Amino acid sequence: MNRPLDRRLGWTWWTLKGSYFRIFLREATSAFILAEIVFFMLLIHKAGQDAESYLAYRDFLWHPLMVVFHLVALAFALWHTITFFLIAPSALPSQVAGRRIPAAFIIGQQFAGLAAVSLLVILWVAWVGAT
Amino acid sequence: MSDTTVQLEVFRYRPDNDGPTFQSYEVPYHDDWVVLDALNYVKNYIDGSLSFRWSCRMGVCGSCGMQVNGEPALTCAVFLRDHMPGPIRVEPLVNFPVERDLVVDSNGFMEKLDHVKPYLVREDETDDLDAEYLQTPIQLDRYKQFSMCINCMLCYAACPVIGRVDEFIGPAALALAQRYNLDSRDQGKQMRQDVIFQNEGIWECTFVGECSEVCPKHVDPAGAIQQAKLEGAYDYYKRLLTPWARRS
Amino acid sequence: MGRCNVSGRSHEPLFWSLFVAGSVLAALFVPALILVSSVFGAFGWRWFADAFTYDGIRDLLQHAIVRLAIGAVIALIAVHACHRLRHLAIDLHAPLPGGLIALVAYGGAAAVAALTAVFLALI
Repeated sequence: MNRPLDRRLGWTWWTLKGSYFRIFLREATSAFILAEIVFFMLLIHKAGQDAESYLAYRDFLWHPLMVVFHLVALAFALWHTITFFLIAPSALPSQVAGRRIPAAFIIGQQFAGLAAVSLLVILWVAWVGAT
Repeated sequence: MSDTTVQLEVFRYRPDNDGPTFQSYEVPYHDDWVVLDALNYVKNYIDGSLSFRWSCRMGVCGSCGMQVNGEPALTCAVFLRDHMPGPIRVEPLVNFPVERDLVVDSNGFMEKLDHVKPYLVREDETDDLDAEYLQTPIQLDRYKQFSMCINCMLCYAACPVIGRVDEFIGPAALALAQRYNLDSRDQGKQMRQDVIFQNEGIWECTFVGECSEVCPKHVDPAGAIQQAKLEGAYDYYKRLLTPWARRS
Repeated sequence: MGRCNVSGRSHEPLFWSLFVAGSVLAALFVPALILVSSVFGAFGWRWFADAFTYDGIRDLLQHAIVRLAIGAVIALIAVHACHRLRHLAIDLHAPLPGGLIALVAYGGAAAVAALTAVFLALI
């Protein structure tokens, strides 16, 4: 008689340890990113209508409870950014033109890019607001 | 010699009895003992019926992989002192069918290895035993990390995708495919890519990354798979844009 | 663990490559986007509140190049998020046909991309 025992990881795998749960959170960032993208899409939609309905929607977006949601979404968005930047060195080919690129350099470049892009967007919006 | 002991909770299963149980053994504690030493103590002095695989005791053969307190590990490399005061729970690697006690069925893994042709493939195969295929240190460096695999299967136990899709080729075999695909002496890339560019190849992977965390040889199978995905995407668009260039 | 299947080459690279492009854009743009559109102004910081008055946002979206860039960024980020949600559903063993999950996910992404393009064109 031969009955090998089945011990496959089931759908609850992400609850089994911290490292799995952090990956679950990384995948869950997509829900928050999608929500924020849809909010922004609707803001564009309202900007194409009359001032009154635009302002009503904007005030809904800026309601204190919504701001709490935005801050949670911001935390998730940053978790996506961090996890994505940290795995990039191992996901890219280890050599470029026969030279090994240090992981710290790749990661540093990406965070520099994040800082530059964020600064550019923030300064652009502030400049439009100020003039 | 110390009088301290530590409790081992060992997974027991024999196919002709009912379901699995845990059996506790009291074994002597030594500062320099690893879990495998404790298991051998059980086997030699307490219960000769306990079954488990081991061979080299030095992290080279890859046969003593088990779950130690829930983590896939080589039992020859896990010190008792890191899990004191215990108890220490020892189970067979998850995701594999259990044959008996701590022994898992590795046939599925062996078949998957076979599918990726983990050896140098040459079109100009010669019988000349003195034939040389030269390689520069830079060319060696491209794949060296992925060649350190000892087939211990810890990465398969760590992978939630393996638990969902039996057919997923999995971390170690995909890393080995990449190891040979990156080797300047190899000419079998096309054949391997026909296998690994299927859904059950690299595309089931969602980069959980736990395979690389548990790897005792720092092979980084997760990285190997993502690199293969980049090549797979490049190959996909190349085929799409140049349909007249039919490849084998 | 079973045998290997031979199911032929996958079309996943198409979605995966769009996903990766969207991942890069999401990593770079989404934190700043959330801050400027939904947080700074709500905090009452004047320049940002002024940028999101009715005239302000129409100024922001005035240039065709800006609208084109925003449309492309939103479309790719939508694909990124929907592709990831699809794989999350699969990894959580959602008891639904894979084709249905894919249809809902990429259909949703396509809808967001198309609506954004229309809304941007109507300003």
